[in-house]
Amino acid sequence: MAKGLFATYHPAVCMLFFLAAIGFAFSTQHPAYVVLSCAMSGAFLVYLRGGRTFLRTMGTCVPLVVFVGLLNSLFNAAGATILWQWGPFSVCVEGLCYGMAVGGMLTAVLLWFACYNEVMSEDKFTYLFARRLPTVSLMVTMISRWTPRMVSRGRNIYNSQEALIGGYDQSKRGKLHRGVRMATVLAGIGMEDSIQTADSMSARGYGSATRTSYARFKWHACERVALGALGALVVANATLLATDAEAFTFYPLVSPVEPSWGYATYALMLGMPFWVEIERLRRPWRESSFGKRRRTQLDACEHE
Amino acid sequence: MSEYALEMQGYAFSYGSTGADVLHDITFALENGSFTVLCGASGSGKSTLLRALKPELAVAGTSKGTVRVLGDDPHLLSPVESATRVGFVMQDPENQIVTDTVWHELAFGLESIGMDTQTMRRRVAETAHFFNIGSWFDRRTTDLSGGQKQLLNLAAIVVMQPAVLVLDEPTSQLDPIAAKGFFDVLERVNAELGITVVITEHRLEDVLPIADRVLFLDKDGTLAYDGDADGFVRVLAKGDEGLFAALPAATRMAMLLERADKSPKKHAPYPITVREGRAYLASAFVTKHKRGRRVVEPPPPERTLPPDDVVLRAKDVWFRYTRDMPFVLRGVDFDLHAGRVAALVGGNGSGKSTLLLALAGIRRPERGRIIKARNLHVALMTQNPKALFVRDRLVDDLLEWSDLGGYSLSDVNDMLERFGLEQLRARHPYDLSGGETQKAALAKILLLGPDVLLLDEPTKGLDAPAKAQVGAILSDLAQREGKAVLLTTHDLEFVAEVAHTCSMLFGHEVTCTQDAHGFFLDNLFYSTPTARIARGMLDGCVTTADLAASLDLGGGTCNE
Repeated sequence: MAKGLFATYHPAVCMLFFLAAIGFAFSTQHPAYVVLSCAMSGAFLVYLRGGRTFLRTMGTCVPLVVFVGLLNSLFNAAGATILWQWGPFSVCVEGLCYGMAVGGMLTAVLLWFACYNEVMSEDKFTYLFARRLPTVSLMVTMISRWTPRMVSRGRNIYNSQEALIGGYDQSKRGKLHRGVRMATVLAGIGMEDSIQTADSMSARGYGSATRTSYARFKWHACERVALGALGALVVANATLLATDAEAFTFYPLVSPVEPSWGYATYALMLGMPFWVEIERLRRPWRESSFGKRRRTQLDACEHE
Repeated sequence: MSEYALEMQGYAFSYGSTGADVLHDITFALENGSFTVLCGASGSGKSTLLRALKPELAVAGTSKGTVRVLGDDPHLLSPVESATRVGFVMQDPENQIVTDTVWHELAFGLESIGMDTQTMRRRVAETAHFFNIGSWFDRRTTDLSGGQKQLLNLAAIVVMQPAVLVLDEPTSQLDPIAAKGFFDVLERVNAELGITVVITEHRLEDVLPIADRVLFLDKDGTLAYDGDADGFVRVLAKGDEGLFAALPAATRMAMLLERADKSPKKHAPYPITVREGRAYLASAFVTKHKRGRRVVEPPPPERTLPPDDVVLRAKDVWFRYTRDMPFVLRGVDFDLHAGRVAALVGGNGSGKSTLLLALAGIRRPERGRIIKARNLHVALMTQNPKALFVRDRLVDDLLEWSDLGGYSLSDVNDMLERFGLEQLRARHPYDLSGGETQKAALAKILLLGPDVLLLDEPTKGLDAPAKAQVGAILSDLAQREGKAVLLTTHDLEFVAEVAHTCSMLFGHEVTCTQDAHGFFLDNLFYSTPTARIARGMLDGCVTTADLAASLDLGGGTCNE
């Protein structure tokens, strides 16, 4: 279970959040939005897994930003401010900036995916589709059971044949032949296995009625509130971000980054994993009307 | 509701429409809540009979007679009713699991019959609680042990609240401790939930004490016995020797005593458990001698170890699968001798299979080395011998490596004859029974002419006669052909009967290597049932054969 309360929310809420975060991250190279997305995803990853994982992810991302930035500036000479020229190649400030923005965008997306992996376990994903697409979701589950089993079967077959005939023939041809043989045996044994699995399924009534699905997650009030708020923020961001992104260009000159309400709503939306933690600050006891009614009844008894 | 959970009347079955009957005139009626063991030699049609109780799994063929489940013909039930009324647990723990997580596996059957969410949650919860799987409810099914997998399979059936539970050799792929755990749970399912149980099983030692009814199928597919466990044992006592070996050690001992005319009471019930066996043996001596103290002390049977001829040696072997995992082997020293059968015992995950892989040269030790004699050919048979077969006919399969091994069809024929497999030469290797597969795999390996045979659990899933055959072959290979044989197993009786030396892996190293007989005499818990029964009364007995020998030897002393 991932750290933080956000992971305890209904998979539909988490899924919508990540779809929005990743979708918006992909849709713009506006520097302010890119920086915000990077900062929020980075903060979330640190919150989920600690600084070490974050640094390890960044270790692959920073070279990516630099590489994309350099590559873009080398091959895109549409900028006005030339920094350095060498024969047909010219490096301009605008190209460098655009490249950095694209690299930053990719970084944000990678970081969001790292967070997604922590929060959305496989069973949450399949649960989301279990009701709508019961067969597809069962298939996903079965494949995820089947794959490791086949790998271990394959290892077993490899061991048993290497142990017997590996010593006789170490040539390329021999190895190739053994590879083909292993695939044949694996196919045969896999068929045997799946016949038994099919038996086990039909013995447990597979296909005897319309499938239902085991519900591991429930809808609570706070989930509805979170989903509503998230939906509103997505709509707000879609309009604000579109306006800001349109107003901003890299070429021929990088336009100045104007202040906008969009940054605030964007940060608010991406900060959702953090603001659901407000829950922790609330008092554990809450007085509600049913308590009051009971007390009034008690009072009435005393008066009598 | 009918008084009987299961009824069969004049049931007969044949494959196809014209084939000979494999089951004849089967008639029985099992009461609600009973626990029945179905016995019979392999190939007697036990599985076919069990599958006839559940139309979804029935074997294709022609059947006659009637089958009733709680008074109804199972073929006339609605699909949902049919799925829930009879639960079926099969042999292989792996293949029955459909989904990737434990909770989903539990819910699978209920999802299939379209149960509503609220009831499903409750059913899954109470079942997980009953089977005590709350702690691994969220685990992936791949990460479970074999015993846990089979318990999960049982739970995934019981969650559907069947009236009848049918189990087809459910523990044959499990080690003895996991099997014991499985039977304990099964007994609770029967006793606490009142679910009728029908089971085929060759660990009679574990299952007879909890059964209240035994059905015995003859080799030709007729019902030869229907009654309680004691009567069943008496029928076998008169019958053929093949099934004698399948009986619990205590029962075998009592039969021997009876044959040697030393049994305490002629018609006392036969003992089944070790405790009953000890009481029986003690009373046998009490009746003859007032004080009931140890009277017979035969010299341990002569066992000569073949000469010391090391062919393969593991020297200070350390091994782990990946750098960030703990060591599976820590400083293992181990010698393998030509002409001897050596056994390697130890719990699950103690590194037995890994040591075999290292000895076979498939896994390179991280520290230490494997030293082998010059030009020595080592062959390893891994746990699933099916992995060796690719062709459609057994004889073609055995010929597969004729180029590599330099052998011909006549060698194959000799080998088939030696293992008693001539009849099966045209059979598909996957259609062989457990014992036949094991023998065929051994035959295929031996054709390559190895000097050292490493066998990973060659007794897994074998019934008593098949085990005896494999044991005889292995002894023969070591003693007559001077091969070095190393086997891993959980079957201590098999080790006591077949192996010259026994080594125990514990704490990732070989803790002791001793001659097998001495090993079991010195051990109190980790020993054969016969040794545990005879301890303190008939010393030096580890196997039933020892017991028979010592009764002959000490017979005079006892009768004085």
